[in-house]
Amino acid sequence: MLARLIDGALGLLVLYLVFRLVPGSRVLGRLVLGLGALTTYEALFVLQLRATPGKLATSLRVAELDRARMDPVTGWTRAVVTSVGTLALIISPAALGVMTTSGPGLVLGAVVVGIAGGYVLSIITAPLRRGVADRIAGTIVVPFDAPEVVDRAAVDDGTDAQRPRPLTAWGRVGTNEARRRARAARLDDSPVLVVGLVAVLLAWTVDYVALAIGLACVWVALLVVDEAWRVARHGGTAGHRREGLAVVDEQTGEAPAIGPAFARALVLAVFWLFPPLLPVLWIWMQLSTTGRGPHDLVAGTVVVESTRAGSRGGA
Amino acid sequence: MAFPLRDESTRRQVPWTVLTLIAVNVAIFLFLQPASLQRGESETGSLSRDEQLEVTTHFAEWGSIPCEVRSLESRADGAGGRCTRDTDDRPLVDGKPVLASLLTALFLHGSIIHLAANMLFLWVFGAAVEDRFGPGPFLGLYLVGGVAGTLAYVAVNSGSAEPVVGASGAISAVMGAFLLIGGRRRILSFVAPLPLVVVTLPAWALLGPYLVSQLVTPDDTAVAVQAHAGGMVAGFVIALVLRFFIPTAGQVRRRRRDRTDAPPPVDPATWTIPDRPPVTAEG
Repeated sequence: MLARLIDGALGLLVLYLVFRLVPGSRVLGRLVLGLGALTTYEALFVLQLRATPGKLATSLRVAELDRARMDPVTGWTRAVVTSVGTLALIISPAALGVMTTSGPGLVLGAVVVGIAGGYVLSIITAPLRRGVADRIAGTIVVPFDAPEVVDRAAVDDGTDAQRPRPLTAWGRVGTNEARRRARAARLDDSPVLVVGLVAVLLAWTVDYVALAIGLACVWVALLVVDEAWRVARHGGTAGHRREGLAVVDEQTGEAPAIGPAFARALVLAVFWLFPPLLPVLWIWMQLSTTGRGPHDLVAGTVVVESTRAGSRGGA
Repeated sequence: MAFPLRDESTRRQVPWTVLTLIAVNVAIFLFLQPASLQRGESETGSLSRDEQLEVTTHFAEWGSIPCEVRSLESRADGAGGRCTRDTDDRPLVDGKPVLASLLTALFLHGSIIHLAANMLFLWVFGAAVEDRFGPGPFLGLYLVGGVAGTLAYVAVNSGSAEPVVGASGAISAVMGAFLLIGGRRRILSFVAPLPLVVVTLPAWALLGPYLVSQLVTPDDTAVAVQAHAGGMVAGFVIALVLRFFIPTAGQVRRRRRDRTDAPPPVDPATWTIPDRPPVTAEG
């Protein structure tokens, strides 16, 4: 905490100097140059002295996992994320003021406050205090007398110990992060759906709105059928396989039957069709101890790590 | 609409040329272009009269004006006769280097959204192209492709006095090159308004519709679609030429990286590197 206060004060000093250099009419210029100065300050200290002044004063250093000496790319990556969070934190009071001025101001202010809040929360709530910057860059803040090379496996074990994931009869529950990545890779083995998506995009492009809407409806129907068929037949989609996950029936541990799989895909489609509902799905899954959203509850399924479970759930 | 967010290919060298181009574009927008463009008021049309004049003069001075490019002289120096469209309220600039404006226009942007969108596309697609061809050829592709895009716009709008600005033509060239070298690579994309929101798509599924959209968009929009289409085709052709005539472009860098990554093999019997003579006591 003391380290962050010292670094925050020095960061303010850097920003003050930058703001003195750039005329007030170039607000965005000030912010971007301030961000660059903060990033350079953070990166150079961490790469050359292994810590910023605040950390040095409190006998802490930044270590890259599994490496004795930090890679420059890692140092700069960490510096960029840290600086964005710090800058958002520093300008949050001004951003709150901007939120009351206009519609765009409200959006802009909310984004800044959101980034600042997320940055702080990521540090406070993360196991081993590894905030978003450390997790993205693959680093950790340790005392000076910690081993020269910090083992990633030990850190992962420590993380798991602080945040245990429940074990079902069919294996460990898949993490939400793995499930998000699986969702992103959803179309990787579905060329028909990709071609359909291109058709919809082209229809939007050439301003055939009715055709675009019609094609989009057909595409969603295809997606639901495809999702249900893959889950029922293979216990998951291409994304699930890539992430080592399997969708299994909570009673049998096998892939769900086509009926429940179809119901699961249908409920998911409701959330996909109305993206503002997605945060509801996300919060629901976060609050569930087994990571089950409404789609899993409807189908009676659970998403588990198939590699550790020793069973592919019927795959 | 589909927006690329990240190239999912394996990790490459740091794309220094791309980063430098992004830094230069951002710095020019923030510190050299009129400050009023930063406030977003140019998009809403709420600039004051003086600010509007400053912006139009700035673009007339540094942007590419088709009728000037056609005659290779500025409007103030006699190209005015060729300018038959969009001549209202366009300030005249004495001694403007018309040829140089083909390059300077590539580094100007009309708004923060224009800049942000261009830099996002440059970052996502540029890193892979730089990795394939190396920094020098990549920079050449960027600049030549950008100029080719502008010339495509000039060819279609030769009588226009409206300046064309932006890195879009150059970035379209980079996208054209990406289509050649990595059309099947996966790109994490934001797809709206369809479901899934963020999904990986093959590059062709993003770049194909983009090219078609530029070809079919009507000419009356404020976007220089001909520059985009021309730049993309030029980039594809330049990448094809690079691949054919300089097949080793970028490979030196990749080999050096591979050598750095891989530890030299050591013969456990003698504890020496096989391609070197063993060290003896006499030697």
